[in-house]
Amino acid sequence: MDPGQRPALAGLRPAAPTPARPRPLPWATAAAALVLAGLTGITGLAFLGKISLGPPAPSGTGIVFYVVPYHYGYAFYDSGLVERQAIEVKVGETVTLVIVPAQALPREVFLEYNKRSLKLAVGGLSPGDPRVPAKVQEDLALGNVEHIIGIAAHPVYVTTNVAAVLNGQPFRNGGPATLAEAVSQKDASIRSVTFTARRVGAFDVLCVDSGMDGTGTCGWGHKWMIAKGAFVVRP
Amino acid sequence: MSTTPGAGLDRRELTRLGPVRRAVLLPSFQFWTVLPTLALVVVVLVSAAVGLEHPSANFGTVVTWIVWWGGLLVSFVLVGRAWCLVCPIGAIPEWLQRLSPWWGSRYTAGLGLPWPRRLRNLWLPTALFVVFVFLDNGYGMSNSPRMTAGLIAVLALGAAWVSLVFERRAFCRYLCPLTAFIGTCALTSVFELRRRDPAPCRNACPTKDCYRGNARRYGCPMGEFPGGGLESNLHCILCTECVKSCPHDNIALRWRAPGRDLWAMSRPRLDGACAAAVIVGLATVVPLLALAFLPELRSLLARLLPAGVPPNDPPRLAAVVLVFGVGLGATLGLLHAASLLSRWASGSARVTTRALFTRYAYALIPVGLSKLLADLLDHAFRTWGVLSNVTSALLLDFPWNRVMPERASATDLLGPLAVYGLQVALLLGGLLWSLEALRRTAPGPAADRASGVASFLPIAGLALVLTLASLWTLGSGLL
Amino acid sequence: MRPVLRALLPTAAAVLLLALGIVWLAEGPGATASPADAPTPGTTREVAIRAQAWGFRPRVVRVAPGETLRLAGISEDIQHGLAINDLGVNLQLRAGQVARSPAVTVNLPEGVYTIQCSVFCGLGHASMKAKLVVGSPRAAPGSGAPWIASLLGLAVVVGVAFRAGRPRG
Repeated sequence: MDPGQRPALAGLRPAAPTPARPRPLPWATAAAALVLAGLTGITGLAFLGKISLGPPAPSGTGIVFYVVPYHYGYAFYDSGLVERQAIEVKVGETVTLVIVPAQALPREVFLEYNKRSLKLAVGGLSPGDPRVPAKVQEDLALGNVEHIIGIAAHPVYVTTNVAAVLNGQPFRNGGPATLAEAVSQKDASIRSVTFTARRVGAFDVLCVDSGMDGTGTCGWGHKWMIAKGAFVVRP
Repeated sequence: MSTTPGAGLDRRELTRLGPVRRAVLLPSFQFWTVLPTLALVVVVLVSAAVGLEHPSANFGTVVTWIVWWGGLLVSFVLVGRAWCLVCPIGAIPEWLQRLSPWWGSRYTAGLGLPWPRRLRNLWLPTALFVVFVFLDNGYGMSNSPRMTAGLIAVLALGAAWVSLVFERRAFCRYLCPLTAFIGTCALTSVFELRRRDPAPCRNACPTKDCYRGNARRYGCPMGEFPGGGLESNLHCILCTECVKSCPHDNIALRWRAPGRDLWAMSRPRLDGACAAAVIVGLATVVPLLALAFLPELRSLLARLLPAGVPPNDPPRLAAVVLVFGVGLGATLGLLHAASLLSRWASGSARVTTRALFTRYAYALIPVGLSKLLADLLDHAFRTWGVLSNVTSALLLDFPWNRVMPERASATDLLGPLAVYGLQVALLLGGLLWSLEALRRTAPGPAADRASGVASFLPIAGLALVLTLASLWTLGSGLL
Repeated sequence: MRPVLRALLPTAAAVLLLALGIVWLAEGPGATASPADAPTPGTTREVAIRAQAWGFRPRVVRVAPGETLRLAGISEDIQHGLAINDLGVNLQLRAGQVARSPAVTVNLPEGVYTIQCSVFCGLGHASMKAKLVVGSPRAAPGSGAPWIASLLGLAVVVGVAFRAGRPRG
């Protein structure tokens, strides 16, 4: 019996007729190709670094602060290089943080900053414990000199680059004598970041973990290198 | 419910359950499964492309290489090619091609060319999968948010361009670097989508809607022919188009013995078998050789090639290529040798070594899959809590992920010995599964028990050797 | 039985040979950093460890109980971690940069401890381990684990082999 003449099986739905092959629309193909070519181009340029896919950077530098990280704390300065206890800005303001590692400055200046660590309880030791300076010296000797500066809940993630100016030594030979000199000379160790303060509150300035479980790049005292609530955003 | 004569009620069948049936018959079923994944992939892409360049703080890398990769491995056993069902990289170009996200359309975009005949196999996808693993071993792709974003972008754009030129889901079937991996591992699944009864397909269906489509629905996007005896999960992406288009309601989703495809395929192909062998080799033999020889090989090659800045270091990259080549060559060679010995031992003139090689390769998939699962188990238990860290970071700066909330808090949930115990259980489970598949595959007259055992022994020995490679690679730090 | 013996002998020989090769590959290659005959009190020994995807060199670090140790790690390719949980050491290793741990005194009982990679570095990350051997331990709790697992694997094979000749369901 010819297949087309076989009786249909009982209870089945009649087969829908096979339609003509869908009609290709050349203009749709061309439009799709154009869009894809554009997306491909944008993607290529983004990965070559020619364009940025992220949110637009704030225009201008806004209000400038200087941060001097040392083992294991921070000193904050306003745009006039006057020291402050904390960075205070208003919500919506553009902020530029200029990070000048303490080790980019002369040995005596660095050691002055590090005396501040003695006022804190670092590594489970009491404030003033003489083992703290010894640990700092050990970290310097081990090459644990970099910090990754972050501010909680803000797009700040800056890795210092002080090793480039130390040339393998724990302290710098030559170089700027003061913070003001380092800034005016645009020292090679300086890094900066510009962002907009969008949230009201007091946020921690911290040395960010480089590992998955609390390790960092500045050695023994890394976990305690937090300035609690030192970035204040007012309404 | 089907009234096809002879079909009867099958207790294994899921499509007899009302909610399941209504879901799979819904024309927009795949659209709704793809939509949430699309949203997640977009967020992953943005955070990996723009966010923190730190692998354990970036939402994109953590979700891709821990959550997605782990989910993928587990989904093979449970549902087969479940990832392909929800994958937006294949679905969106398809919607573009059809000019419709789910309803039947009379028009199409694209040239609709047939895929080149010479490439209608899994050789190219298998090679691309090896490249994919090489990019991870050589360049640390899973360690880099930017490379992860690059991978997703390349796959998405590649799929879109291929869909614009070729018909159906040519990218998904013949080009996606993961298709060979996903397809072969999906053979272990406890689910299948198959015709209920061959009779309506053979005798009463001149239109072959499941393959060609009809006025209401599309045919199989993977070019499979469910009504013509689709017998494995290798290429079935569970899109359920065939269920919707079949005029005889003759296709069902049902449970089955786990991994039945591993031994029950009547026409297993050599390209799929080599894909399976490559995957098993990459999981078991290659890591062992890399552990033992990579540094020495690199030192040797450093005398011949100029050194570079890692990871773009030619001697090391060349060493990795060499280790891959030797490892995969050894796996294929050992499988061939075991097939040869098995054929000789069986005393059967009816089977060829090539046929045995093909079947045995598929049956060894659980050995490789269990090793990959064991690797992921270790990482999950040693870094518990990372996902919540990166999700918190993402929510603070959505979707850019440029923010670190505070301290990372990954936890060692279990110690190394306890984790190894779990890994051993997984590996031995995979070995047992493969052995069962091999037992059903090995030749030998049913009446002659001795020949049956004799032909089984060589390939069982190989399965044991591959499992030992995994056991010792994972346990070498414990002794 | 003759077909079984004919298949069993070459199979068993091949499996044994390959198994020995696997054990040697997993345990053998890779230099051992050993302690001095008697560590000098008050001094810190620096042990250099190189990491690459996916292993460490040396794969065995031997120390004396009470010895003071400093680890100096470097990655040869991508970012890795060097963690010894029992000593509280966790270094981040970047390509080409040496990372040094503080001096740690190994106040651990004689035994074998795990050194592992603490940064997800790819599909082989789980295998990336090395051993810290303190003193001359008789047997670590985990020392027999791979051997026991191997014997269990063999038992599984033998068990299924007995079923191999039966009619298939």
